[in-house]
Amino acid sequence: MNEELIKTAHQVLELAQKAGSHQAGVKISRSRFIDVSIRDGEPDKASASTRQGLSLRLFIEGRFAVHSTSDLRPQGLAAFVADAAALTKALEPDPYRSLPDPTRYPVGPAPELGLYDPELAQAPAGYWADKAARMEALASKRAKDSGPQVVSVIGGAYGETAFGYLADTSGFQGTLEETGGFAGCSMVYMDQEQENKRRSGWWWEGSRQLGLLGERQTMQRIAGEAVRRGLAEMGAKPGPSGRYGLLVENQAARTLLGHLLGAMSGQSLHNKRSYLSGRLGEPIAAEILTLRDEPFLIGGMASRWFDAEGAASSPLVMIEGGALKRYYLNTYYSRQLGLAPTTASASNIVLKPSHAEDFSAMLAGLERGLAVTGFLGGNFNSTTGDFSLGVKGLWVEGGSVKHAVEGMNLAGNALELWRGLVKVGSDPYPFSATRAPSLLFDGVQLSGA
Amino acid sequence: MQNSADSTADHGYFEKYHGVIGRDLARLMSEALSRGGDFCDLFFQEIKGIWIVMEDGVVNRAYTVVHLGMGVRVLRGQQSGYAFSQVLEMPAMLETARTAASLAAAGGRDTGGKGLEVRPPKLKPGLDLYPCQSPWAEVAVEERLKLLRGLGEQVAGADPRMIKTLLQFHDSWAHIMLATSEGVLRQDQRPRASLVASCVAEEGGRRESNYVDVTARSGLEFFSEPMVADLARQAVERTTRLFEARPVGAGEMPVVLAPGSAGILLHEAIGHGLEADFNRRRVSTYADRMGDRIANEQVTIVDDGTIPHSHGAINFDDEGADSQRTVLVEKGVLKSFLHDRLSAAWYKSASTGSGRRQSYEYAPLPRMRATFMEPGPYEPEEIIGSVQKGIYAGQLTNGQVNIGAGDFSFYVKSGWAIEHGKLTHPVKDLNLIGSGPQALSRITMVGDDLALAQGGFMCGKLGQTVPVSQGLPTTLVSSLNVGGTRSQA
Repeated sequence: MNEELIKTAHQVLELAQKAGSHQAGVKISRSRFIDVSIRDGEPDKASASTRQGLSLRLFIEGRFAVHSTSDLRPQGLAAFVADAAALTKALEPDPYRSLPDPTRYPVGPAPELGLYDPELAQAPAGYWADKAARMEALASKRAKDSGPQVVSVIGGAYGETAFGYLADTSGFQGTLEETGGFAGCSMVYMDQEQENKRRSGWWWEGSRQLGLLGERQTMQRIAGEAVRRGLAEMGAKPGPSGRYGLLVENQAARTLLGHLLGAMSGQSLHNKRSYLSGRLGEPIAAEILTLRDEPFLIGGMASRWFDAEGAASSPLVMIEGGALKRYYLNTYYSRQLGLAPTTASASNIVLKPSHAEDFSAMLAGLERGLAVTGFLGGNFNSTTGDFSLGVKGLWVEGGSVKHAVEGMNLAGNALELWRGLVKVGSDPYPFSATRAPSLLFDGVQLSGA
Repeated sequence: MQNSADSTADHGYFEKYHGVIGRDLARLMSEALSRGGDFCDLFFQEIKGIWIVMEDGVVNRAYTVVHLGMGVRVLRGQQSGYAFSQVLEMPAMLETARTAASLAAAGGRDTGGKGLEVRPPKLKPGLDLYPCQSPWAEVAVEERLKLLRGLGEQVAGADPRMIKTLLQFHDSWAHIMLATSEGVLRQDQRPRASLVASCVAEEGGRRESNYVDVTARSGLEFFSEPMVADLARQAVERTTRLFEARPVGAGEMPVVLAPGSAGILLHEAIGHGLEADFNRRRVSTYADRMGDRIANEQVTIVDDGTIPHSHGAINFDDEGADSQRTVLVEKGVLKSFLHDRLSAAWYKSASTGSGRRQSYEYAPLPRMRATFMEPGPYEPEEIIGSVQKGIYAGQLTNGQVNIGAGDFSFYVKSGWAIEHGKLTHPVKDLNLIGSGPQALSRITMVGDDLALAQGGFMCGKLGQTVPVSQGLPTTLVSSLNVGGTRSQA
């Protein structure tokens, strides 16, 4: 099956060259997923399918375009490439476009990154259905035993196995095979204090390996965590307006790191939409912030040995001691900006802890302020670094929770926010490529009641 | 358009280009219902799209996409099984039907089941809401480039402070065929086109960026010269006006919503909460409130799939129900949920034609189409004049809602401060947050100037994105929580 895809990829490259493309790159992928949810004791939704696709980067007479299709019928590919080439030729040249310098390609063999588990890849549909049903049963019981009126409970399981192959006319060839499985639940309670309001708790955990997902203990922890989160939202209301300390829980801190990483991308810089433009080497955060891009983490959610254009992966220090060390630059943006290329996009993101404290410990040390557990809408303006974000969480005084919070806004500027970083926790969120720990910031503007 | 009333075996596009004939549909549906399902539908789709970018006057990149496939949904009571195939050949599609049947039977656990008779599908015409004089499939690339260059010429040199312009043109053309086990066959062609201007300007070392877009279900003829000129003017004005923006105090204050994109308020504060999948599970804050007064008499809220060429227009929904205009709130009283087939069955009512899906990869869900508020009695000047100190919210984006608690938020990219009944200075980058039911109950004045937003909003829910429209007349919400920016600290 995969051999067939590889063959198709090379046929497409040949067609592209015949159509006048002096350089071309192709990515072909096929993945199979299953997604099952059980609600209130009954099967709710189940879906399973195979997804396939091909994308072709064409470089013709200095012109560039990307063409993708899910229609891999051999008889249709010639017309697909011909149309793609014709459109590409209608554009204007861009001298900065080309495949990467071949010296940047990895030297094989591929390292073992722990991304593929044959047992997970072969687990039948019934395995995921049973897991979802067990998850729901456990979550329902925990929810009902927890006190407040329960409106609805969902248990779910998701499994995916994916194959990807990247090749280009400079000779690059690379494959990536991955599996992933997730189990989780969510529950909706009636709020005990506020009429008509529902409060929900949810939690999901995931792994590349089936074994790590299957234990009863894991599912007990997931159900317990969802219940705890639902109960913590009872009676939520805005806290006071003013400047207060801001603690951001690890999984929520991914949002703030996402904004920071976005402003470090070649695309933002080239489009003059990055507040980090021209700041290489300068302090952009408190000295305690050291952020690394780690593509070789075993079982990491974004581990890889080559990037989107085939360039070899390597661990990179992006921010060190608060100073900006690198941008994310692929071939194109590195040429546009006159800087050495790094890697096309973020892989796994790891922060160096400043304190051996997790969210609870950091909360216990917070004199007065907001502990954010989630964001609701808002916007980050990467051009200026200004942000205004809806937040929910917990109002904290003297190290203990006073009440749940909703309906508050958090506003500021990214440079000021990150320069006011006081603590980097030791509790990285493990179920995402961005392994954000809990973060504590000083004096941030909140608007509430 | 292809909505001919001819009910013979014309399976149009998918027969002509993919060899799918009526007999195939019947066989696939029989297979889908072989494991105890009581309803199934087949959704065929082929989308071809082009996206062309002009950067600082140079058309230097383009992206194209072909998205082809078919999905099989099998229902058994309130349970659903779904599978799709990107190969439109019978062996692959039969396997897909078997997978969906088995998933609906027991979420993939093995059980037996009985077959069900399938009625031969009969073509049922839909509305004709998006006829095109120049359909995108027949428009040469050069025509698209001409459009972009025309816009480019108007933006270039419009203001010396401009340091970057990114102009984008996007169009797509979707062929749809839907067949159900109840004998309904429907076919559609859905156009979508969008012209976007994004600008960055610099003044005294400070940079500001903004964007404008016009989006519609239309052909090339939609993008008239005056429209392109207006888009260019707005893009430049909206960007450079941000340099004049000054801080406003943060916290609770009156907010006047401008006509157009501020319809996002309705979308978030109530629209999602009325989608009946959230209500049949009682997880929405509006679940037990049908027939209740939730706003004053001026407030009538409609969700309408039948507005010609609007981004949210649908000739029929993605499970074959007729498109319609649904009154959600009438004179302040909650009147209707938005139903798809599953929720309508649960409530023993009819579908409101709201079953929509992102593509053949997904089962349909109750979704909004074009959501707006009917005009009220006030002149816009009267409404602004009534506010002592507050915000006039002009350009809105990034809405989000928490269905159960009802809290929602949306973002004001640009607007004005109101002082003593007058617009005094521009404001920017403010997030607004509130409780949906509370915000609706605080609508105290509704203007007579209803407008649908010209921009192409995309609405996300449970991992699926669909095009929607939204609109509003000038509207006063007596108090909302306005988040500040750093300058307010």
